[in-house]
Amino acid sequence: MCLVIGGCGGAESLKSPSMSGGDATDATTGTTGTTDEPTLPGVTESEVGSVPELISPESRVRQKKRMTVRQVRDSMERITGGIVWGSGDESDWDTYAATLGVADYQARTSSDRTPSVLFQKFLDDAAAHTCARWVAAPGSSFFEVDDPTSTERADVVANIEGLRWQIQGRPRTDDAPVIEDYVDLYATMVRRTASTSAAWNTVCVAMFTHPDFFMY
Amino acid sequence: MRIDRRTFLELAAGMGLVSGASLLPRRLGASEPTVTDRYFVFAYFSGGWDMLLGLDPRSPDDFPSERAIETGIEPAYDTIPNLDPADWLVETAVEGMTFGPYIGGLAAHAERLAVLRGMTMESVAHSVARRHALTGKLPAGSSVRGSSVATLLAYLLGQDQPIPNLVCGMNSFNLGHPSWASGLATDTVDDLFQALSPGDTPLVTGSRDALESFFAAQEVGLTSPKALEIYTNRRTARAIVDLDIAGIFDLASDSAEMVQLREAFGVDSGVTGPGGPRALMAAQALTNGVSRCVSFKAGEGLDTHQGAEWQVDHGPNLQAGFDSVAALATHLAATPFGSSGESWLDHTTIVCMSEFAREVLLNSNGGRDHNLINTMVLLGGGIQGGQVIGQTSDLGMLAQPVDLDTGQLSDGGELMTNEHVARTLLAGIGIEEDVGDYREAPIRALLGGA
Repeated sequence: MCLVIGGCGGAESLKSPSMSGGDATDATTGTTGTTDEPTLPGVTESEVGSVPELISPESRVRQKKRMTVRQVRDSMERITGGIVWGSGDESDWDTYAATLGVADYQARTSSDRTPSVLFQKFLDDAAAHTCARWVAAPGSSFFEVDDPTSTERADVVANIEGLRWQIQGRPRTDDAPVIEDYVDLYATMVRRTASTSAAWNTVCVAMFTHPDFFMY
Repeated sequence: MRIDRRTFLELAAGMGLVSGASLLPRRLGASEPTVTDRYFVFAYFSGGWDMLLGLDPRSPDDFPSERAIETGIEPAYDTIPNLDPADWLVETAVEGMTFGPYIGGLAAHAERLAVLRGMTMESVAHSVARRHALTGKLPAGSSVRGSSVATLLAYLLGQDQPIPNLVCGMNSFNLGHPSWASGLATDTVDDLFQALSPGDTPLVTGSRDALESFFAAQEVGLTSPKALEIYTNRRTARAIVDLDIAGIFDLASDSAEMVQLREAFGVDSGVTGPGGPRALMAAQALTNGVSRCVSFKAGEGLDTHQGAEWQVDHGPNLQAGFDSVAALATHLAATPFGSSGESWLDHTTIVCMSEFAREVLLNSNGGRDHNLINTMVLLGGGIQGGQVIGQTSDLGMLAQPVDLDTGQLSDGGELMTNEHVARTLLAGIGIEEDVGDYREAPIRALLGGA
């Protein structure tokens, strides 16, 4: 039986597998055929509706979702080799959980997953805290290149691509226009501060606070 | 320090943080408030308060426990340990306005109180009833069908405040109104202070500007409303920090002013419970020009089904909440409203509500279960104080129809609901059109005063 809306056509039609167990019954004629080959009904264009297929089978679009607070916390800690936002053992993500709308299944049974004002404010704080320590950490996994102070374009681009992979999960070979934006950001900060670590710190904050990190 | 939203928006626009369109809030048809100097506080008591212990008592002499089956009413004050019989009923100077033993400091404001007795709710499920109380509309299941009343009022009046709608310890809803009218909701006052403060690790000089330019470039070409909202919220998050108003909510400050405020609101002593700091926050937000509407959880720990909980905890928790509201009312009454000669209380409507009340008969555990019949109390600007509107029956404390214009019982009247109150608040600022789609008339008897 043809399942495609908008008519059946040759090789593009989706053929349903035949019924299992016993002979297949032709839904149109009621005749019985063998189960080895599907029996196509004699359907013509005029017998099928003319409504066009609205969504291409190749389309895989869904609305992006925001990471949960736990996902953000765990991701940042894992990416940076265990740097916790907060003082002491407790992460500030847990301290502000109620304010960030995390479900406690008493007063709140569903978590707020919106990229709200408060979420982005605390994410910015977490990024500033985390990036400052990650960039400065000895033997840090932050840098992709051997010389962290190199301002050679190739090294800067390589590092940015590496950070996009680490932080945002983007392929290193992804030649996205945003890479140039990160390069510009880096260059701007080098000019302003004469410090490559300050520049990388800023790039790091930009990456963690970009929707490419927390929206998926 | 008073910060107005127009200054906030101008600063933000100048920094390229806010699009010009948001400077002109969209209006609902031709509905414009005629009273524009009104502020609102919604003090929510979580869990379902006991009317008999607070707003709608009964004398055990008239309703003794041995007749409970006959009357359907059981005050049971004598089962509460350490409660002096002399304190069972709290009389006030207002005729007919008697309160239960845990009304606390709110009784001192009797001349300004309007008590609604015999309201009828439509759910005894906490989440549903809470949403009903906050939005003035019965939810569809547990999904709200309208914005919080505070959100609507903030939309109508709060365009000049930097945080038009401030919320602490409770939910807030925005269904179809501009995002700037949404409640900025935190769980505690300290979280609000942190949200308004810079993070613990400052960025190097020049970094913030560079980041703003970077994200401005990311926003170019975006058309999806959801994507644009992300960047708008990001700018707002920066803008509220740049306003430098966090200090107003630094309750841990040892400044002379804050020490005095903590004492006035019972924060250090704990007498006002968890509602005290939030009431202080409300006072600061209003009188410093930060917010137009403030909603906070004034009372909690009231869902006392078990006997021990009801006997020992409900009363003190209820009183702590009433005391926090009383402290707020006292502070606002003592704070001049500009050079008008009036006080902030004359310009602030305070609404005290709970999602429902508690049964007027004890359950088999000696506690009280949920009750569809409820009370509410309002005071302040626009409210005709010194009155009781409506009355519960002497058989089972049931709701009775009320003439909405006179506030008196009337067979031809209506049972008061959350919808009536929401509609009343709008009528109080001159909006006669039912912009919230509440489909009930305002309680005219409530309106009056300043």
